[in-house]
Amino acid sequence: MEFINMRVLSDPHSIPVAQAAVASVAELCGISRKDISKLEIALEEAMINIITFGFPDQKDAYFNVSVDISGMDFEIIIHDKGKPYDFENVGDDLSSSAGIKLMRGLTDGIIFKNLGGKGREQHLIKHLTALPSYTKSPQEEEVCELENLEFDIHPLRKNEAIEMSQCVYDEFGYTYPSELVYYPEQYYEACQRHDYFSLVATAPNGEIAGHLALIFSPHFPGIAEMGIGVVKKKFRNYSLMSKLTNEIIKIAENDFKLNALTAQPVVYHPYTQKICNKTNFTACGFVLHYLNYDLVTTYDDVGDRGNVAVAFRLFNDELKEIYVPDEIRELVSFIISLSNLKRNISDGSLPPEGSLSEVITDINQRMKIGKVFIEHAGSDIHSALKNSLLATKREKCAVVELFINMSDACAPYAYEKAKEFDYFCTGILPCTQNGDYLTMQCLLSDIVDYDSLHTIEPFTTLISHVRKLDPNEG
Amino acid sequence: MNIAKLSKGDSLLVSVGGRLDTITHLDFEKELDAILSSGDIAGVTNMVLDFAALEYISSAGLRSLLKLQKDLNSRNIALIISNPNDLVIDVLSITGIDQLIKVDT
Repeated sequence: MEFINMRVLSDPHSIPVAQAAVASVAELCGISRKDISKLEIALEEAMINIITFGFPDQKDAYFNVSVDISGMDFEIIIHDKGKPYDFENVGDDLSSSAGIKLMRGLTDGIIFKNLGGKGREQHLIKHLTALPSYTKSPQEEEVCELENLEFDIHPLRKNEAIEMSQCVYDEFGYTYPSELVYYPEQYYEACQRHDYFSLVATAPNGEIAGHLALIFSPHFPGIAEMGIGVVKKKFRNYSLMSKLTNEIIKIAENDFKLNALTAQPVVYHPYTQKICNKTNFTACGFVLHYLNYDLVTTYDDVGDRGNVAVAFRLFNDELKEIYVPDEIRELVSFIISLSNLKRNISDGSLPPEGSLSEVITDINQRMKIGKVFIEHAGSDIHSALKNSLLATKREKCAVVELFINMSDACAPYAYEKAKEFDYFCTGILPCTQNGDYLTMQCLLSDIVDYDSLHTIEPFTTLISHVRKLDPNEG
Repeated sequence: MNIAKLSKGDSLLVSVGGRLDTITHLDFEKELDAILSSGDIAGVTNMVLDFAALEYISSAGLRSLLKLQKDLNSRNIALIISNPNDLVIDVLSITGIDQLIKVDT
């Protein structure tokens, strides 16, 4: 956990200021006065390295000094983007080497990191002998232990919107992609417009105990995503999420008469995938480098990118012909076999010369995610894809999702063209009123560490298909 | 940082208090230069730096000590550090300065 992060002027007079701040934090962590003095000397040595060698001629340069406390380590991190210099390999004479010797001898460890264009870091490490008192877990909220607690499950009321928004923040921080949820009044209005359907469970005293929503997309009529699910910690002994899920499934099928419902179980643990398997949701794809659900407490910080799976529960289906590229027939057939979708798979055809594509590009600027929808691929699909990708790059999107309508005979042609831009197949999104969509992604800023994903069957088989198609996997 | 000097026979005792670091080491050098330029140094064979009140020393301070020692050597005057605290002892030991300058604990 980063405790403080200071931007300091590259001037020797910044040293005592930074030392005082670091010393205060060290005291809080129970480090002895003697060891604090040692850290102060090591910090002076690290900072003077940068001032002398990193910014020798610059009076107005800055660098960062931060303190990170993780596990049992107190770590001072000094990060600069000054002139490259090898701090470790200095001359052998005592005068030149005293600084590095003091950094090594007065701390429990030092690490030098060369980050290339991102500069350098010097890490000064002190092992803690006891966890500082402030890191002790806050007192657990009193758990409600009443038996037979009756919850009232109903659509969100206007006066509940703020409390619902607070519940979402407590669970997800600012990482939830449906950003409207952080604007209670606007979210309630969106529910009135049927952009969302929000279901809340309230305790007898009126307190919101849990929430779950249907999220509708104008691009995918006929289906909805089940999401924004949260149950307050004190009410987690009552199978409330299960009750909300069962209720919202009934509403989706009977009231909204949807063809299918989708869900996004995470892949950093298998538990939500297990729930999908138990509740008749079928694995159908993944969204990679989406976001993670670690608590992010500022609106502009989207945190590190993580991965989610996609699953769907079928309510209503009819026989359809879909045009599937050869390369992904096995993947699509696998999903169809799991879910009993009624599909005839066909080869497809080339678009007529001069025909125009129907492509829509949608960019979430806060989350830096682009979405491109191909309803019909014309002979100009290559330039349409290029233009949409450029638009997402201009907005500095890290991830672009591509949806190709498989009821279009030219879908396989669009797939081959998309691959030229490093898009790769991540699954399908079936059962919309407009047809089934082939989902693809282009990762603009990073690659996926597939070995770090925790999946169970059938998600495991599905991700192995996706991995083979990922051009970054070589 | 504060400096006070006291003569005692053929030893010149200089007490150094406070911090000897990046910011103060130049003042230290200036003060010692002034002492070496003054008449107080005549007939002195030892300069003893009393570090009893010195709380903190960094590599900048050590470089000033080595510079002082070099200057004193050219005058055949020995440099001795006395009464360093535990932190200063550690610093002198880690850097090996205690092998070059006599330290009297």
